[in-house]
Amino acid sequence: MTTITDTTAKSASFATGSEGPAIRVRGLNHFFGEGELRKQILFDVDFEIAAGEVVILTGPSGCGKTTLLSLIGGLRAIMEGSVQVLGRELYGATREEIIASRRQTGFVFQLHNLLDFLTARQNVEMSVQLDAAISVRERKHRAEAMLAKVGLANRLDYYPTALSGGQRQRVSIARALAGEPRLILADEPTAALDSHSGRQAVELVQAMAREQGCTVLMVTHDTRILDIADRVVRMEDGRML
Amino acid sequence: MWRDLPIAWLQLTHSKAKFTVAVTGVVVAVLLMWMQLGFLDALYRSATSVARHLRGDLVLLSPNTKTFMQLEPFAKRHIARSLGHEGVANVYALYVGMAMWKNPWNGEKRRLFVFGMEPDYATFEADGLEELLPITLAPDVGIFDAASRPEFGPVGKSVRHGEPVAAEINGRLIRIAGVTTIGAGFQADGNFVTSTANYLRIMNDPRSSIVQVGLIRLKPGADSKQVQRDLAAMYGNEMTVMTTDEVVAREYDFLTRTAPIGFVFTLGTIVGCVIGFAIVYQVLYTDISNHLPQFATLKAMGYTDRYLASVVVQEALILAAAGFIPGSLLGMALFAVAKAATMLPMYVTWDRAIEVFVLTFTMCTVSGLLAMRRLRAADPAEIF
Repeated sequence: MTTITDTTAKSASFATGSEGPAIRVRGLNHFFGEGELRKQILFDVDFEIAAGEVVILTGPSGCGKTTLLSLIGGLRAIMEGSVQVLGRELYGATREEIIASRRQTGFVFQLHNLLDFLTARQNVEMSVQLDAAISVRERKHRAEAMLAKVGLANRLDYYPTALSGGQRQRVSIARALAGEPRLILADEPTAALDSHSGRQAVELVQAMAREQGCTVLMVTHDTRILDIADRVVRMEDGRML
Repeated sequence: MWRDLPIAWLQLTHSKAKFTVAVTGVVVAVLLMWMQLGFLDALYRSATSVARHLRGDLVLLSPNTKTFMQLEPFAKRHIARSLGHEGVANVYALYVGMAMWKNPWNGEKRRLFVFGMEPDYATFEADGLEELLPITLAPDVGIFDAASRPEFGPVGKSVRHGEPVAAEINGRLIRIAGVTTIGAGFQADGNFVTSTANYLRIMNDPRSSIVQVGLIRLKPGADSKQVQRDLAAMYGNEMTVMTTDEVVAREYDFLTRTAPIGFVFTLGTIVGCVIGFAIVYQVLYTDISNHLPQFATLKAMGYTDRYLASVVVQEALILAAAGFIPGSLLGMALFAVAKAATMLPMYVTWDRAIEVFVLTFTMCTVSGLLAMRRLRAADPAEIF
């Protein structure tokens, strides 16, 4: 029972809700392309993030950070190695397990990716709605409360095109957090923003994650925001440093 | 599902202009379907107006007759042979021919159908025909179809007002003693009914032995299918024996498949469907393409492929519904116009409405299902 290499074991049941690591990656290799053009992107990546930790993953462009993030988010299929997210093994996971894992994860993107035909409130509601147990009234209420927290109480019924870049990013943060995820994955959340709004956005993620007790993994090469992290992890050429 | 945000609706209606264009496309398709199916139905109704109302159980036709629009003659003596069957109560002959009518008001000539029958039995049902028929015992007297095209002159109106009307048919002056309603068709624009004796005079053909339709009435309780089989066996290939239902079915079949005019309207309906399909597909495909990163984001959040697919189908169904209602109202309005202009029996029926409804929804669903394939391009791995 003391083994630490048994990463492919069906450990989902005991890790859920326990104090085990939120993310555990073991021996992860990843490749792009086929045949002659096949190129290895990740080399034997091992790392862990404890529940509730705020971690920044940094490194030069093309070092594989975003690929790692998309593997942890269940957005790409894992080729070799083990990725456990909130106690759920994603290697060889079924479609349903992947979707369940995605639903426990909040994503914050470089580009906000808000639905342009929905208002700020409706965009946030889209993530609350994934929980079928929540009533329509509660859903609206939660979306409004979440937008109020990110300082957009007076922009509830604005369409994304009527909001500034910083405001859109804040809507997308509200959307990521409204589903009460246990894990937040953020990819260059400050890249499209000026330094002030960028700072504001990541501080918001950090504060709200703390409040909800959720784990944060943020990919960035914006050195000005490293101080918000509990820990900074560096990657280079597909390897963890 | 019903508690979810109606994102199909919200996406479609976000741009009012785009939505209007899409719905207009469906409206045009629906309108086309109504008109084409309406004409097809009118063609069917008018061409079968006699066949559908034959007052008999079995019909005798020449084996060469493929349609009521072109009845081939046969020897009248064949009809009487049926009387030998114990199930047959009576037999009747119906003479059908075409003659030239001269409009008594302006002298214009036009072809019309002339029906000849014994004055004591109306061989088909038409408005008041049975009561009027005995008048035709008198020579050179007949009954005119008031639903004939107006080019024949205001015969119906004048007769109803008690004014005497007489017109030349095949150069013979005939008194119109009454009017009935049969309806104009694509083959001939008008109808005229008279006695066998008058018919033969008008046709200038003294051979009463050549007839076009034989009608058999069965005794109560006789099995029409059985009698049909017996008679068919007796006649061999000399005569065709059909039930009245079979006659109508064959007529419909001939019109929709064999006759080019039926094909034209069927083709028109298909064209309507294709237009609607192309427009709906284009709208949905563009909408999906423009929102690929957003749809991919929804997938990343944990929405299933099935959810996104259902959004596309919902959009297709919304377009169908939004186009069907105004399209149908317009179609009905155009029916009224077409009916007044052509005297064709254009009717708005539940059958027609259901037919157009089913076609519209099928068209939109197929567009939706095809447009849905575009969703595969929404890859959540590409959005980071």
